[in-house]
Amino acid sequence: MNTIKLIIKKIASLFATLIIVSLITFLAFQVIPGDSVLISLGTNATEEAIEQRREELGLNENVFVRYFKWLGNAAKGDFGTSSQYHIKVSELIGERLSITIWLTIISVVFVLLISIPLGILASNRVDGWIDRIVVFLTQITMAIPPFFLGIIITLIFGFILRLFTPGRFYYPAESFNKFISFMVFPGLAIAIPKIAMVVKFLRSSIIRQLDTDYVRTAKSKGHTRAGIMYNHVLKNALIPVITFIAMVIADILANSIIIEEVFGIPGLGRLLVMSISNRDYAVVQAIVLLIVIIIVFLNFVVDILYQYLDPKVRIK
Amino acid sequence: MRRRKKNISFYLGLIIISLVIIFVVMGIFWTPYDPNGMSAALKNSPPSLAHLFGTDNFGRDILSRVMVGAKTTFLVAFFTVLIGASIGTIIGALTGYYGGLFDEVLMRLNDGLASFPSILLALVFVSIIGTGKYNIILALGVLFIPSYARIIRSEFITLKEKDFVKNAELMGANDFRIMFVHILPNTKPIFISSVSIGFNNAVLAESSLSYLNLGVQPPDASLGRMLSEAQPYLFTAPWYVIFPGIMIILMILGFSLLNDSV
Amino acid sequence: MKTKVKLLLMVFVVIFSVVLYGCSGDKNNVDNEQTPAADETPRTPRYGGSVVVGTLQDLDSLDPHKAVAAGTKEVLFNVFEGLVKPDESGELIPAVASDYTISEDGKVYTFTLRDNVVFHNGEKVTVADVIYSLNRYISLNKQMEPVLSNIIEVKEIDDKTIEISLNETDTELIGFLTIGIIPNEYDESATKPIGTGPFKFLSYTPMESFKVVRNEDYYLENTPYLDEVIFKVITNTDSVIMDLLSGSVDILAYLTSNQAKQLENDFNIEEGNMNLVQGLFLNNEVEPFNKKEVRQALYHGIDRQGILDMVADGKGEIIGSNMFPGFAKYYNKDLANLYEYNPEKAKTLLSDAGYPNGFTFTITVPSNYPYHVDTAQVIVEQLKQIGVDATIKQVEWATWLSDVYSARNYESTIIGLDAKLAPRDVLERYQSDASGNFVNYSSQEFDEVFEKATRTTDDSEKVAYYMELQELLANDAASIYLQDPSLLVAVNKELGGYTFYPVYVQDMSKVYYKE
Repeated sequence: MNTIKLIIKKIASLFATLIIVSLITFLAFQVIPGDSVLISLGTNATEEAIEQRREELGLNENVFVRYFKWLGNAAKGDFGTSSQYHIKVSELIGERLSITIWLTIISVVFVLLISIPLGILASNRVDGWIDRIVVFLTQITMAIPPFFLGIIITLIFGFILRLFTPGRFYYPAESFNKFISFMVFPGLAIAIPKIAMVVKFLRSSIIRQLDTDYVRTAKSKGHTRAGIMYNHVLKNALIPVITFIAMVIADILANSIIIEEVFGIPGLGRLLVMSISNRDYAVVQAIVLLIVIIIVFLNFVVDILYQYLDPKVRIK
Repeated sequence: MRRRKKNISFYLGLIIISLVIIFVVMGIFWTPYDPNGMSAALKNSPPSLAHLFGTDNFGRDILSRVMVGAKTTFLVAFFTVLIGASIGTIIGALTGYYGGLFDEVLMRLNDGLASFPSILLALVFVSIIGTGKYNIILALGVLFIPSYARIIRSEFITLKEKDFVKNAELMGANDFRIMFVHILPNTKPIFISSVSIGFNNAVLAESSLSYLNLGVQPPDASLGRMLSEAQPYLFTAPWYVIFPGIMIILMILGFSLLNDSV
Repeated sequence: MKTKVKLLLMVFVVIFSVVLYGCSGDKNNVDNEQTPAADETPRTPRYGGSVVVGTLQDLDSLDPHKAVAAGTKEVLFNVFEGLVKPDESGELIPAVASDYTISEDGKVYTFTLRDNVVFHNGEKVTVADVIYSLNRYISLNKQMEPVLSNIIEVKEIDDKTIEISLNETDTELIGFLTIGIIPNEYDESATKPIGTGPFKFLSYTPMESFKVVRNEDYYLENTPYLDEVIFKVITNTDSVIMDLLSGSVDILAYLTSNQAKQLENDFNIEEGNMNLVQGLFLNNEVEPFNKKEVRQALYHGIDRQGILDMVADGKGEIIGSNMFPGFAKYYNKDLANLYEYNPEKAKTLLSDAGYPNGFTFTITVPSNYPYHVDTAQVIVEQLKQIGVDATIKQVEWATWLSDVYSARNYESTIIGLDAKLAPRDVLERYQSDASGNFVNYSSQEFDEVFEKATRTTDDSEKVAYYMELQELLANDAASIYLQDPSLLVAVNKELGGYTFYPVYVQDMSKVYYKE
C-alpha cells in the first residue's frame, strides 16, 4: 500500500470518527440533566424566563434538527458561540489550546529524555542494583495519584525551594521564559508517573527480546552485548513502546485536566471541565473534536513509524 | 541469582498483599470505632494511642475509615480491571487477528471512546445508572476497554505472522483455537504488565472520580475519597492524607511486585 | 523482609513529614517578618496601588442587565451604579439620583438626577440614559422578575427629573432601582461595559481575570483610593491557600473556617455575615414530609448548634425561618430556638405520625458546595439517633437546578438561599403557586398575609406582616432552617477599609493601602 493511499484512507476514517464522536457528545448532552439556560438563570429562574431563553437559543427544536444544524455550521468552520462567555468558541479555545500543547510537549520531552535511557540502563543488567533501584522507583511513583503528586511538587519546588510561585501563571505573550519556567513543574508532575510506565514497559519489552532465539544465536556467534542490544534488541523492543508512548500522549492530554486544576493553568482541560458543568455545549463539542483529531493524528504517526520499523508489517 | 531475586520480590509482594487483605477482611468484621461516628471534641486530632491514625475534620477515626475505605477501593479496582481486561482482550484479539472492515469499525469506535472526555462519560453513566457505591465499577470498566484492546491488538498483529501460528494454520486449527490457545498465551508478559498498570490506574481513577464527586458518596469512605477530602487539611492535619496515601501505595506496590515475579 | 517494609514506611513518613512541616516552618518565617508592620494603631489611607481580589465564580456576563450570578453582581458593583445603591446597613442611598420621593399611595416614584455624574466615556448622564437603562432592564428581565410588570411607564419630567408610575401600590420597588445605568442606546455592554461607578472597566479574560482602573471623574471626592483592581477568577478552591500565601491574591472572601485558621498569621481575617438562609429543604409533597409532625420531628432531631460547631468551628448564627439576621429590620429573632434539639421528643412525634421505626430518605446536595456536603454528613449522623436513615446523593449544580429546583423531583436538599434587598423577594417563593416554590409549601394563611404585606404602605404594619410570615413558616416547619454561616474574608495586612454589606458586593472603593 503506498503512503498516499494510506493517508487518504486515514483521512476518511478520521471523518468517520469525528462524526461518531460528535454524535456521542451530542447525545450525551441529551442524557445528562440540566442545560445552559438553567445554569445562567440559577435560582432566580421562573418557568416563563426559562421558556423564553430556550426559545431564543433554539433549544426547543427537534433533537436531530439541532444536531444537523450544528454539523452544517461546523462543516463551514463555525463552531458557534459559548453560552457561558458569549464569545466565539474558536476564539475561546485558541490560546488555551497552545497552552495545553506546550504542557504536553514539556511533559513528553521529560518522558522521552528520562525514560528511554533509564529503561535501557535498567535492562542492561537485569536484577543488577541499578535495575532494582529503577524498578523500585517506578513502582513507587506509579502508585501516587496525579493530583497528589501535583501538590507534593508544588510544596517542594514552590514553597520549600522557591523555584516558582505557585498560582502565578504567565501567558506566553507576557513573558515566554517565565511561562516555560512555570510550566516545567506541572510538566514534571504529569511526566513522573508516565516515565515510570514507559520505563517499565520498555524494560519488559527489552527483556523479552533478549530471551528470543535470534539473540541467543547472535550471542553464540560471539557478538558483543552492546552490539546485540543496539543492532537487534532495541529496534524490536521499541515497536510496542512507540504505540505505548502514543497512548501516553493521549493520556497526558486527558490527564492535563487535573494538573491544570492543581497548578491553576488556564488550559484546554480546565475549559473542558468548566464547560461541561456549565452545560456549554458548543465549547465541549469543539474541544472533544479537537482532542479526537489530535489522537487520530498520533495513531496515524504511529502506524507510519510501525511500517518503517517493522518490515513484516510492510509486507502485509 | 535471577531465581533468588524473583523470590524476594515475590515474597515481598505476597507479604504486602497479605497484609492489605488481612486489613481489608478485618475491616469487614471489626473496626476500632464506627467509621462514620463523629465527635466535635476530637476534630483533627493527631495520631494517639486511642486513635492510631488520628481523626479527620469530623472527629472520625481514620484507622477505621482506612479499613473500610481500602475494602471499597480494592473491590472497585479489581472489578474494573476484570471488566476492562476481559472485554478489551477479546476485542483486541478479534480485531488484531482478522483485521479488515471489522477491525476498522471497532478501532474507530475505540478511538472515539479513548478520546471522549472521561468526565462527560462518567456523567452520562451516572445519569443512566445513577450514583451508587458500585456503579463506578461499570463506568471505569468501560473506560478501561480501549487501552487493553489496543495493546492486545498490536500484539496480535505482530504474533500472527510468526511461524508457530502459520504452522497451526497449516495443521488446520480453527481460528478460535489459534487466537486463544496459540497466540494469547504469548501475549502474557505484555498482558501481565498492562494488568498491573491497569490495577494501579483503576485505583487512581477511583480517586479522580471521587475528586469529581461521582464515585462513592459521603459519609462512606474509599481511599480516593479520603485523599480528596483530606486535601484542604494538608497543612493542618497531614496525617489525614498520609495514611490513606500509604495504603494506596502499598496496595499498588504489592500487586506490582507480585506481577513482576510471575 | 518485614524490616524492609517497615523501613520503607518510615522513609515515607519522614519524607511526608519533611514536606509538610517544612512548609509550615516557612510560613512562620514570613509571619515574623510581617509582625512588626501589623500593629494595632490605625494608619492613614494612602492613595494608589493595585489589589488582586480572588473571586470563586467566573462572570456570567459583563452586561449589568443580563448578569444573573451573585458572583458577577458582586464584581460589577464597582463599575455600575443605579439611581440608588445599598450601603453597609442595607439602606438604599441615592447614587446616580441625588434624591427621590415615593407618593403617599405608593404608585409614583420621582427621582432627581445628581448634577456631576459622568459615564466612563466622559459623557454626562442624562435623563435619556436613565430611561433607556430602566426600560432595557425591564424588557430583558420582566419574565424573571414579575414585579417589574407592575411598572406602567418611566417618563421624563424635565432634564433632571424622571417619574416611574405603577399599576398597583408597591413601596418595595425601590429595591430594584439599583439597576446599573448605561449610556443611551449603548449596545456593547457585553464586551466593553460603560457605567458610572468608582472604577472603569479595563479588560476581561474569561476564566482568568476582570480588571478595572480608578474612575478619576467619580462624583464623590477622594473615592476610590486604589488605582487598579484585578478580580482574579479562582475556580479551584484547593489552590486558594497557595494563591494567598504566595502573595498572588490580596483579598479573598468565602473562606472555610479551616482555611481561615491556616491564614490567620499572614492575613487579617475579617468576619461578617454570609446573609444566606442555609436549610435542609424538604419537598412538602413527598411522603413522609407531607406530614407536619414529621418535619417538626426532624427539627427536634437535628442539633443545629452541633452542625455549626462541626462544619464551621461555631462561626455563624442559628436561624429558625427563611430570613437572615443581617436584614435586622425584618428578621424575627424569636424563631431561632423555636425547636430545641431533643431526640426523645423527635421520636415521640415520629411515632405519633405513624413512623415509630423511623424512615429512610435521600438528601440531594450540589457537589460544588463542600459546605453543604459537610452539613449533610453531620445531619445523616445525627438523624441515626432518632432512627431515621438518610443517604447523601451528590449532584452537579446543573443537575441540581434541573432535577431539584425546576422539576422538584427530590425528597430533601441542602442549599443556601441568598440575600435580596426587598423582604418580599426573600419570602415570595413560599406562596402556593410561586414558580420558585421548590419546596411545594402550600398554606392559604401564608398567601393571605403575604398579599397584605406587599400591599400595605405603612412601614410598621409591613414589618409586622413579614414577621408573621416567618412565624408561619417556622410553625409549619416548611423546611429545616439551619444557619446563616459566617463570611470569612482574608485581607492583606497592608490593606484597610474592607466593608461588609448585607447583600453580595465586593466594594473596592473603600479599600486602601495603609500609609
